[in-house]
Amino acid sequence: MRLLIVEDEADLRVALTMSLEEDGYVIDSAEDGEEGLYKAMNWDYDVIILDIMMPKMDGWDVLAELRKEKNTPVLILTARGAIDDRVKGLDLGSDDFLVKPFDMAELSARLRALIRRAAGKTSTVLTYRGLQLDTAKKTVSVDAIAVQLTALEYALVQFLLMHQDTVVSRTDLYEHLFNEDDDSLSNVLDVHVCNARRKLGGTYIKTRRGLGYTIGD
Amino acid sequence: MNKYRSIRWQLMAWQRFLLAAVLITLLSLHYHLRRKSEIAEVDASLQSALMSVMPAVAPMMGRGGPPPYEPNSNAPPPRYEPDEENNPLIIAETYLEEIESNGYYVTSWDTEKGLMLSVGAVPASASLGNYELIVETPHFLTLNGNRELVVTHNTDLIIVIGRPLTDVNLALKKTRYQLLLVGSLVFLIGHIGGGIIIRRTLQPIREISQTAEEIARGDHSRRIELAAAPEELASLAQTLNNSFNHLDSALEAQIRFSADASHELRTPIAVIMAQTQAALKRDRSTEEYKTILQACLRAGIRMRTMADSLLELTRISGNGSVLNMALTNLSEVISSAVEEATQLSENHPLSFQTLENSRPVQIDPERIHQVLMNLISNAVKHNPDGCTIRISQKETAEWAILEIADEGTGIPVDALPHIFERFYRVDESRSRESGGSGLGLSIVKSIIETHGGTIEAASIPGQGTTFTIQLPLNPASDR
Repeated sequence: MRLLIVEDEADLRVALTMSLEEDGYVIDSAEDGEEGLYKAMNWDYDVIILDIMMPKMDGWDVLAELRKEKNTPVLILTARGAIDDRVKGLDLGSDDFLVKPFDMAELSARLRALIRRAAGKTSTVLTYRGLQLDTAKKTVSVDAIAVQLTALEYALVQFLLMHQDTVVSRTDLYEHLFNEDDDSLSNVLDVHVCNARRKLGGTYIKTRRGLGYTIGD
Repeated sequence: MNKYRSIRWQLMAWQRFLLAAVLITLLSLHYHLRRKSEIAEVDASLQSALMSVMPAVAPMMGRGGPPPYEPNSNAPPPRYEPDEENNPLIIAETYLEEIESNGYYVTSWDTEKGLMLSVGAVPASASLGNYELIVETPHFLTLNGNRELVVTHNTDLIIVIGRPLTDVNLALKKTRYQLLLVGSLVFLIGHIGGGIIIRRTLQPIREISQTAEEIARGDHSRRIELAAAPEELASLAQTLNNSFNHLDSALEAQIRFSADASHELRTPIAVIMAQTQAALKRDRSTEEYKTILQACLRAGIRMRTMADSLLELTRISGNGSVLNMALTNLSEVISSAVEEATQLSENHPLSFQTLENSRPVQIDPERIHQVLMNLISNAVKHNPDGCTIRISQKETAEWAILEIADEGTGIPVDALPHIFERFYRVDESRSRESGGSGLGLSIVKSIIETHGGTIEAASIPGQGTTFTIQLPLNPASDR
């Protein structure tokens, strides 16, 4: 899952990036509204974490501009916690609102919920036949036997399960599993897919030649 | 107890007291005049009775009269009570004869006219050859419910003519009742009317206090509405409304201030929380811990700066007592600030020009120094590539004027009106990184305004910014 953090406060941006990367997310960051909007427009992020009070372009404008073209889930993270601000944020088309200072655990839970909702799921547990992935506990099991995956393999399986029964293109996978600074070669993805397929066993991850990968029928 | 201290109660009591006092005075005056005239009437009738009796009584006296009356004897003069038939006033002749035949003292009653007559005490030695009876000392007195006219002529003769006051008393009693009735009626009307007027006078006061109470309870938008109130109260209401407006805006400013302050504190707190929570997720290397702790320290320093500035701002705002005022030569303050500021940066040449014979100003020199330093360091901070900074001193009849001008990048037009606002930053990220609290110019403005002066900023983007400070040469407190 690839997130965009738009936050002008460097120390906060760094802490968020560190914490969320360790949760298995792939993070892009922007330090002002203009940069944030540019990135948000050019990549399909799973969630955008957006600050309001920023130089150059404030969060409200970023959100308004973004919503003209895209439905990327947006979580507003701001020190402005008044009811008016919350209402304004939600009315402008944000999907969630969290006031600083916040709890990292709550932010994680809200991000999971946003991602789940975007994929049309209601449960934190994604299943396909014997394959089970718990997004809250970050565990994967096959026929009730736990499987150890690397962060990237986990993200890959999660993304494919999120989009069950549809073919996910390699480009999509790149966009959502790697951040802008990753210059991994394309075959690296294949390596990760191979490893994941081996660990899960069976034929959960299918290759559609020339199209991409899928979990599903 | 409270009740007796209310204006309404006191006014009512006073009004009723006055009303009662006036009524009692007037009515009793009336009563006494009435009584006096009644008595005067009686007296007149007694007088005329005396006159009519006199011709009958007098000759008798001359004829030797009754036996001598000893005025010195303690015993009262014997009284003669004539029966009906012998009423001397009915038949004077008989009366005289009676006096004559019985000797010395006659008292007679005319029950119909209610007249009484006593005659007596003519000393034997007296010679009353000519019957001149001089009514020498007529003397009226009220005795046992009778009005009596006593006439003495030397000690020769005492005539007492009297009349019971029964009918007069009856009439006066009636008058008393009438007056009591009238008085009560007038008092009642005064009571009710006064009550209404007092109530109506005090009604606006009650409304004022009601409104004030509602405002105290938290409905700050309420104002006193007294369109039809008496002039004095209307102006009181106006004054109060103005105070309420003032308090309201002060309160709003305070609320906004607290909101701003807490909002500003949220970000560094968020940094600390996010950093520590991220750090605590798993064990980390010493380097990572260092980085995290440094971020926390930066956030802590920022909060400290902010707390200090907030405290400073709150302390100064409009509070002249924190200033150590002294008659100061502004050029000295400028020189010392320039001297200090020269060490700030080599890229920012400072020039200054002071007045030779400037008039001393009543200021707190340290605070004005602080203001100058703040403005100079702002110019340095916002123009990292260097620029010239000029400080000049001017003077008008009423103002000492300081100008701090730089030839830097200037302030964007849309930002200019806001630069004195608390926590306003022209460039958010840069000023935060440089450790600014966003309060510097607010503090500057506060200091100048507490001095009774003004500060204004003019800026042309790309050409520079000029701050103009005016300090009063004769502040009101001096006069």
